[in-house]
Amino acid sequence: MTDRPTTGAGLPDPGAARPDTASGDDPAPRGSVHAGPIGAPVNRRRGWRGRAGWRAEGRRLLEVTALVGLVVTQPLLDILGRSPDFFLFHRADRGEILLLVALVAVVPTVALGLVGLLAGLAGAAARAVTHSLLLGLLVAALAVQVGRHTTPLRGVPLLLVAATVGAGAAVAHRRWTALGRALRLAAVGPPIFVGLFLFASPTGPVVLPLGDGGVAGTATGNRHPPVVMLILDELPLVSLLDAAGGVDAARFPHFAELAAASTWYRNATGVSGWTPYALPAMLTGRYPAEPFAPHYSHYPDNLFTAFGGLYDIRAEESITRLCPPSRCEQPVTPEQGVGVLVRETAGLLRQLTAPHDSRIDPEDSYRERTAEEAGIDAAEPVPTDPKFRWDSLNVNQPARFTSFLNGLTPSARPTLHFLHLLMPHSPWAFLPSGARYEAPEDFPNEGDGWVDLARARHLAQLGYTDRLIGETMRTLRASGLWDEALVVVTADHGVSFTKGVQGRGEDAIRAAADEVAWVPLFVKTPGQRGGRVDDRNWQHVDLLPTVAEEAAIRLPWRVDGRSALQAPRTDAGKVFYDRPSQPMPISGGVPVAPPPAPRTGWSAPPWVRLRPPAAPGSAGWAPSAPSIPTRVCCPA
Amino acid sequence: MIWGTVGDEVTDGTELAVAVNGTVATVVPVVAPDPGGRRFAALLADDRLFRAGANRLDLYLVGPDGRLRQLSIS
Repeated sequence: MTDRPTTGAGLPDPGAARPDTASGDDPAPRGSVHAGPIGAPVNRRRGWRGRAGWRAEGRRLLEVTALVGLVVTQPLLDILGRSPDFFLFHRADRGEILLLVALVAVVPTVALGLVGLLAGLAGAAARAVTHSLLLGLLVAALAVQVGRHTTPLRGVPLLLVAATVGAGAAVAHRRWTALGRALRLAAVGPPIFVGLFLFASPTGPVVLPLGDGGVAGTATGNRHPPVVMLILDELPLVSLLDAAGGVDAARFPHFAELAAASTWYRNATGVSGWTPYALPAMLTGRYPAEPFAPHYSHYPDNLFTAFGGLYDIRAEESITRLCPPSRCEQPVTPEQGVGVLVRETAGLLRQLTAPHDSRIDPEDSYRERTAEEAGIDAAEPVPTDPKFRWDSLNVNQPARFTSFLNGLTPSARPTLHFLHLLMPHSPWAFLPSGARYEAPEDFPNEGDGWVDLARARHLAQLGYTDRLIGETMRTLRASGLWDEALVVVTADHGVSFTKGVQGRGEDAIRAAADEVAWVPLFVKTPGQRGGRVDDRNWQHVDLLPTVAEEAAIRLPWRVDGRSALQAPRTDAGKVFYDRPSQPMPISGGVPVAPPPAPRTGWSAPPWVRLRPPAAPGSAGWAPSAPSIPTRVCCPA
Repeated sequence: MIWGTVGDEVTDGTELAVAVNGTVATVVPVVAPDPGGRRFAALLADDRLFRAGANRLDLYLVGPDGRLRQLSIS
């Protein structure tokens, strides 16, 4: 049918302007009005309900599908497809991911289609106007995305231009049929986007695993000590150091305690600034070769599969899933469910469609849930002591860490205890005491002032991480595991807080490799009593060979790294991978001194005593709500 | 963590002293405007500065001579 039937106008001309038609309807529906005598009135309601009417609705739905695909489905699935760690962090299973994909690909289209259908109840004219309005809005939304990428326009000017483009597209759609035809052809887009997501994106194997792990290692002896591995994230070695190059015992007493009881490999470097590449390299002993998802189907030969035959494995992974289900116990913490996926994806969509710049990064959602939020039984109740904020370690500590601690118990069988904890990784939310705070998400991390604030927040979160290290050591000693266990504490990579090259990208690697590549590494071997320093050229592909040899396990595959029980490398050269298969040479030895502490840092406030201000207007402060947006005006 | 915006009459680099319960906890600069405005932010990481219940927060503009001028908070 046509929304606005012509009466007695003769055969339609597809190429002609059609001021009296609507919604991209093609000649066929327009021709349907000729069922009656020329000039005869047309029964609109019967046309609406007829087959031609539904065909017209189908065409409109295809047009909406095409635009929703470009505005919503493609950009979202593109980002999510390149972020398998997003799903791994949130422990999404196959069903939840497929449900999310279905929601992204279907729900917006269906919702807009229903809007159009409902408008049709008010008459053909309303239906036509509604369809044009929807198309115009979708084109405007698309114009915002395109304009943000191709023009310097932002904010209101970009919105105005986008609105103009949308209005023009709506008018053009009503006037020329070619546009509607093109849109209907483009409706094949969303199924293609879904197919690419499932079968060609790095996330694909998370949804459709290719296998279930590789070959187990073989024993080279009878002595298989307990192995405890704690992998931290985004921790540069220099953050721990004092001016003399040692671990800053005043700020980080537990790291210092660990250094005094283990071998500190001060010249240890990570393999990549990106965890999806860095952690698999550490746990396979091989440099990154392909941009694979950090999933066991891509890395079937890894720490967990090698140890799986001889060791029980208690693994808490975060943004990787290298331990195959056949080798790992189920996670202790409950699944987070599709709700959090939908919420975070909606946040991504808001960023995508906003008329201003926004860093679109699923990593922003990687905040470790606290034990309290996860409902772990061991979580302490909220304390009633007025000094509760002085020691919030138990209440706020990450749920994965609580599970890890609970598992640190002696066992009759050799056991591998593994935790990858996203600490002190951003988002920075912890004070050294363990108290949590909130901050605006749009704070820049670069630029004058901001980079210092970012480093101060990083150091505060590192102070809290230090307490978690202390908890780990205390628990190991209390359970009797400390003496007999092989204990490894390290980080997968660092991060630069150097002004102008903040972060972990290629520029940061080139300008501040000491911050991005060099990481803490402490290895306490079974029975080790005292601390020592080893400045060999350690690269993190050495981690698995070292741990395997200490555990008397022969790895059944070739590795790029070498065990620390063997002779050190003879050359000082190191490589780092911003992208797989593209090694970047990095130079430098043990970082000697950290950058000066920022003025906004937490360690050295001026502590100037003032008289209490007499003037009114100061703000109250409640410990339970430590963050208050404040607008400050003119000097009093 | 506290943050806020200041008026255009406060120049970039101006230092603000943040006091909690009468004690200056930190001094932070006002940074160049960004899409969020002319902002400042300070991390008050030592929670020994705080006490249970209401706390008092004051902001001071640090002059070139080191003198402090209190800012009103709106």
